[in-house]
Amino acid sequence: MTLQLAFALNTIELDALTEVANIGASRAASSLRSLAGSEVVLSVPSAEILTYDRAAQLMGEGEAGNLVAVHQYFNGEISGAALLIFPETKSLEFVREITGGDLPLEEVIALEHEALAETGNIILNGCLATIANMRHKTLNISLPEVIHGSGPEIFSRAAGSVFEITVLFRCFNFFVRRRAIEGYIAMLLDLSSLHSLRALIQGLILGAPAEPSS
Amino acid sequence: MQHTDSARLKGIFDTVDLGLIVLDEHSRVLDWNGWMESATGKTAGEAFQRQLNEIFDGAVTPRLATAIADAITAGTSSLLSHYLHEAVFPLKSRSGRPLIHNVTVRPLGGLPLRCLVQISDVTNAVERDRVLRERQNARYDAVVDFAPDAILTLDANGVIMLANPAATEAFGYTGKELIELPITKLLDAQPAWDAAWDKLAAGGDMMRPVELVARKKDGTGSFVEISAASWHSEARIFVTAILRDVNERHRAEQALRHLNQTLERRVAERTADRDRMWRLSSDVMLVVQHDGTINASNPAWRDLLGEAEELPHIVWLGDSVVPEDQAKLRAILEELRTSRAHCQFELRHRAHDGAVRWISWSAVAADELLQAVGRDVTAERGAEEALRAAEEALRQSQKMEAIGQLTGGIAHDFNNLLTGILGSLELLETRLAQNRHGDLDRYIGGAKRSATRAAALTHRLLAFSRRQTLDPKPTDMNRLIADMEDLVRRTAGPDIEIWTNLEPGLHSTLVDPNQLENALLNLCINARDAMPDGGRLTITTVNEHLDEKAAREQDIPPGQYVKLGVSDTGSGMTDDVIERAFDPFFTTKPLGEGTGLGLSMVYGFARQSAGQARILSEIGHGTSVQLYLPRHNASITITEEDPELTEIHGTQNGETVLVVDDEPSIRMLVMEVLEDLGCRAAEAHDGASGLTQLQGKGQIDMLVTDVGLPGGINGRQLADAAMQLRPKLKVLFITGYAESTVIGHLKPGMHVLTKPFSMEALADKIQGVLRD
Repeated sequence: MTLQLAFALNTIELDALTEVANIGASRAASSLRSLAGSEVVLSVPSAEILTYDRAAQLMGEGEAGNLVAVHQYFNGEISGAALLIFPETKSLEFVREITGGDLPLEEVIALEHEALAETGNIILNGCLATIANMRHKTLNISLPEVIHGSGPEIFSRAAGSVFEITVLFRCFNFFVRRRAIEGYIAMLLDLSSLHSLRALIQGLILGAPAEPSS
Repeated sequence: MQHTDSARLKGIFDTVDLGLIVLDEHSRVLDWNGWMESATGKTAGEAFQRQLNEIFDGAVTPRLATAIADAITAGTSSLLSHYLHEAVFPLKSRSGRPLIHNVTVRPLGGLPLRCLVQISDVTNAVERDRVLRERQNARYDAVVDFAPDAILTLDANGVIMLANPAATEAFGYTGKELIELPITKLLDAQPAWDAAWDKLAAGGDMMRPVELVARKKDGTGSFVEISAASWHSEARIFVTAILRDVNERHRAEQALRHLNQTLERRVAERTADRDRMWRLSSDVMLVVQHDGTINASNPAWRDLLGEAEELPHIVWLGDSVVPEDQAKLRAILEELRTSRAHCQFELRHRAHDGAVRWISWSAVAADELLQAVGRDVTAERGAEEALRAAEEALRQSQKMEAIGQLTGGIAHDFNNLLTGILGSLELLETRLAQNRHGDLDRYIGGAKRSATRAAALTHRLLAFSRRQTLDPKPTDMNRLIADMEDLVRRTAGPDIEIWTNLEPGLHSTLVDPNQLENALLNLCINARDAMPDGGRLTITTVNEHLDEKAAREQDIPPGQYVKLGVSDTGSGMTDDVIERAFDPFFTTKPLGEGTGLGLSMVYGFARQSAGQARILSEIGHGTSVQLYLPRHNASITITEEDPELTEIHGTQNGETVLVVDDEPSIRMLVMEVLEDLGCRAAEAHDGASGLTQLQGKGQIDMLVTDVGLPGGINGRQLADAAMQLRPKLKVLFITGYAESTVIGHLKPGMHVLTKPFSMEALADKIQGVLRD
């Protein structure tokens, strides 16, 4: 189910978008480092553009059980929902790492929700702020919310069917003592927002700060 | 209006239970509400136009600065939770308590962007949660931290989330190493666990604990019993497992199993041993019910009685027992029914081929059944029988030896008596020739006395030499001694004085009279031999009561005894000789003069008769041998009358008596006696003619017959035939032989009179038989 979009990004544009995401991720990583008190590396190796349905379906594949997601809305020149998604089974591991790795299980379970929200908030803010800053424009970005469920459930609760397009970033969270916790960063956009994003990327490729469109 | 709204909003701004800070695009404070004044102790005026870092002397987290910068430049909203930030601001409650707070950073308004920082007090909620959690944890920790069993909590992937101290100890990992470790590192792949896990991970429960081999960090195995349950936290499934160290139990079970296995083997071995014993034993083994029904018998039983292997025809023990022992068997079965004690007994069993087998049994009642083990003692009994026969023969030869010793004196005596008879007859003849009839009676009387004495002597000799089996009967010892005295006197010879000192009213004693005679004669001969130069032989009898002490000295039970003493005034014995005097074949006599069996026979006789024999002797003063024989309480039945004292009584009935003898003079004498008795007499000279008369119709009430008869039918055969023909016929055998074998077993109505006999004795006997 290949996406045939008039606005589909070419390889160079995708690479540029990936680069933007990595800039945002490294911002987030520095915040996480100060939070966790140990080395944290976030990397975003790839990005692709998918339809909403395809992306929602892809989320559940290859993963047993539910997913957990932190999502925030953003509003402005580009509007949509941003989600940090990873397997529910990894979420405690994730939180344990953020909190220094020594908390007992009960404590980890108790603060899981807030810690996930804040951690996701940091990562998503990193990416969204990077995009906003490239345009010297602000987006109105909401506070984070944590949701559990299957891929389609999460997508539906985060955005309904308002957004047709998903920009999906593969995302690795490296903590010092552990193997990577693998997840996704998804941006659910409508077509006009995709268009704006593309323009933003093209501007970045041309080496000049993109001018605000008319 | 606007003013009013503005004033109201200002009122709300300062009253709201939230910390509110508005920062300008340079992150400087524009607004600082009442809540913030209270929580920081700094007024809005103090905070105004200053950056937060300044206000709080650098105590603001870098994350807050980033969040504020992002909000102002990019419009992001940020959340700083108290969970991850111990204190975003150094805030205190009014009472001075540290204030736990969450912070959100929001962009505010249009460009240039400002920033709204909101601070919410969650102290109460956090405290409440903390108290609840601590209370819960206290319970939980008390159980988990101090549990002796390893407790692990796993997530749905089987990764360890929590491990208690016992788990670190049990598996050799540190607590940190265990966390995030997959449980499969601890448990070898085992189907029982995999199956259980599939259920647990799906939110189900284990039905029962499973025992598994766990792997410690150092690789060693350990037996654990796992019980586990799943639980839910929001949508997440956890599994808490308790791993109990069952090595000890496992070892015990192993040991028990080993023990059981070896026990089975040992039991099997023992059973095999017993089975072998049952099968191979030459002793008979039976399991018998109380009524004598045989439940089981071993092969030896079948071998002994010659039964077929497969189906023993004897199912009741009594079937194999000879009729004579049936009553004994019943008595024994009854005894075993009531007693738990071992019972030992002998029974005679009839084998399949008709032979009698003696079995010596040992039986005991157990579990409602009798267990009996028997040994074939037929050979032993046969040997005993042979021994008894040998002893019998020995006694007989001993007797003959004594007779041999008597012969000299007897011959001399006999000659004297014959001389007396012949002399009297010669004198009678002379007087008759001289026609001198005056003194005839004297000579006839003299001859008759001598003949009577000679007859008594031969009778005594024959009686003595008669072969008889042991037959204890009540015996008057005084009378027996009196009968023997003449024989003793002649045996002892003229140089030895015979004294008797017999107690009047002597108790009767239960002995075999023949044996007693034999013993007495032996003792007298010994006494005689001890007095080669003459002396005095004293025979004494006395009643003696032995009390406990005396009886113990004599080694016999206490009670009433008759004591027989034979004393001499001879050379006496040394103690050494006394000690051995009762030993068989011990003799002080020259070779050829004695067998050395005399005294040992006397001793044996005394002991067999439940009595005792003792020797008292002093060198140069003589010897006394004393026999203690137990008193018999029944009165003595006199079986034989003194023939010289009997009177002749005629019969009034005129019975007819048939006399059969090949010696005409005896027939004549008997016929004359019969006629004197008033009987009618018929005669026959041999068995055949006697039988002819008996077959005839004439009256015959009694048969008097010699045993040895010519003509093919002896006296016994004649008598048997006669009693067939005439069941009421009385029979009297007259015989010169005392051999009972010649006559055989006497039937009722049969009597014996031994030759020689006086006419008076004959008449008396005939009368007695007819009256019987």
